[in-house]
Amino acid sequence: MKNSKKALTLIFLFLFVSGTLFASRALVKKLETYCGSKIVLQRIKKLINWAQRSGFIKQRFYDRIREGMLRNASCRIILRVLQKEYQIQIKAKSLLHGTDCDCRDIRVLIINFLYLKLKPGMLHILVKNYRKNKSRIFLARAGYFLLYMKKAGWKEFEVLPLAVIIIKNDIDKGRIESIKRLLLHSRDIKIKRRKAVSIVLKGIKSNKSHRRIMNVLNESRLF
Amino acid sequence: MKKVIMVFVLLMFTFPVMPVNVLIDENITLNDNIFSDYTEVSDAVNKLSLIITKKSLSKTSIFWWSVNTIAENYLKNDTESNYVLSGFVKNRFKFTDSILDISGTILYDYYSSFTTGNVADNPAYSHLIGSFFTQYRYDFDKSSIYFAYALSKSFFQEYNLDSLTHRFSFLFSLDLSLFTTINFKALYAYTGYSERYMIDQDAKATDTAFVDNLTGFEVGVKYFFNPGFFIKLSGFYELLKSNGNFYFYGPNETLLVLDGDEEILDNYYSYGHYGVRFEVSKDFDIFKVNMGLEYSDKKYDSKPAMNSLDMYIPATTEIDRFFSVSLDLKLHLSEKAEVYINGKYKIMDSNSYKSHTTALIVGAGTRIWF
Repeated sequence: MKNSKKALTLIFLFLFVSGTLFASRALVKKLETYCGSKIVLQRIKKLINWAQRSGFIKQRFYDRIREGMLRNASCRIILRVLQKEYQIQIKAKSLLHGTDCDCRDIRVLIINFLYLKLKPGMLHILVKNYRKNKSRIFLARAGYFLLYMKKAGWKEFEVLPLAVIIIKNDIDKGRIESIKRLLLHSRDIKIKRRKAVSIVLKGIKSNKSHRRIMNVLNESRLF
Repeated sequence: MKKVIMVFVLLMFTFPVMPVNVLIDENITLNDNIFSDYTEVSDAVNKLSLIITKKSLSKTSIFWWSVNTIAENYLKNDTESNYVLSGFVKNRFKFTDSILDISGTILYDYYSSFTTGNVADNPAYSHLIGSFFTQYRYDFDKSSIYFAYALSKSFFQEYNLDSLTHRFSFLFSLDLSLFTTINFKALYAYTGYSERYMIDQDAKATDTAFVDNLTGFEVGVKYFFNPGFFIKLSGFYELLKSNGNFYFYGPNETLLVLDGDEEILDNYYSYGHYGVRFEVSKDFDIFKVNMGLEYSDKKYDSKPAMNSLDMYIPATTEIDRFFSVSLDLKLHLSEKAEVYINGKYKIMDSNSYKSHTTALIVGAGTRIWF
């Protein structure tokens, strides 16, 4: 029974790997007929080879090619998109360099954050803190928290202490929503950002309720 | 006007170097019914405010003071232009789970010339208001209880609206979850008018001064869909019992002419007022949109409804149905500046001709603080 299960798993694995290989080969062949310029095509192939040799996530390159072809983009544009993907994957790899868990999931997360224009310096600090507790969910939550606050007009470094505490203290989703609300409220009542972050941070560290932190914020309003 | 602007500009350059916080608010409003009445007088209003404030903190208390100046200039109706200077001090005593606030305000509103305005009890006269406020708040993790008392005294040198008000209020606020908060508010206010007296059947003032007793309740719920998006719904009820009566001079008479059509209307100001308010607010990154709706019904106990000839409609008391819709847009330019646009449309649908009004108010402004 055990052996048959193993065999079945191996068969599925084989089918998956060969299927992926077949699909990627078919895609490259399709690209050969899609691209008019041989030079551009060669450069694309070279780039994919480099990516493969550097240990990058190859699937992402194929995804970019597929997206480009679906949108009828020219081969030059596809090349440019692939070059950007290459640059971002280099950055992601260097950010995760030396971590003992440079796994695919984390790398994809970091790549996504880089695409969403989170500064590498900020990501470096998040990754550094991630190394300590190794919870991917909290790294993701901290990154998306920074992005949310960035969209709301904050500078990333201004709310970084809160992002760090999200990773360090395993802050849950509800509590993160509470932090966001408190910061947006602080903006409405014209409290300086530094002051607001410091109040919220202190409240979170001492495990105060949302209402109690809100009261302290309201106490700090100047006008 | 130029002098006022010069003073503001001078203050703007002086305060950044002083250890105080300053807020400057400049706003221009177009209002097609400045008195909110049947005359529908429109005007543009320029309002410039300057708030200077300072706060000192210690472990057990917080002390605030602030000075507020407002210059409100009406473009066409200059008699309505006024200048406010107010001072405010507050001390907060902090305990483990509660606070006690004690504060005082003194406000002087100066009108260069005076008119009675077109609305009763909305006179454009210089006046001084002094008030004292105290509040005790006890906090639990997910709820708070407030008890407050306010005492305020108004002095009108050129008009008979001097009054003294005692106001007691209670508020209970509870977080049902992180996303839902309910509030319950109750208030009672007693106002005595020291220069207004009841009139007897011979149209002579008695020794009994006008007294208002106001009781009110409000229940509200606030729900957050996400951190920057909430709705708020509240319902309120107010009951005003006043002993004040009104000497009606006769249809379309603003001065007393003894021609036999005079009448004393008892219990003139008492009413019951209930309504609902709805608010929705959404943050779009650095942009905030706020929309409000209000509907209320005010039924006077005895005030008669009047027709367009200023004559009673038989056996009918005044009923005002008030509806308003407002839209506020705010753009956070930076940590220390914002611009805003406000719009409001109000309809007062009344069975009394002079109370049936509409108003459209549109304004824009900017705030900076440092």
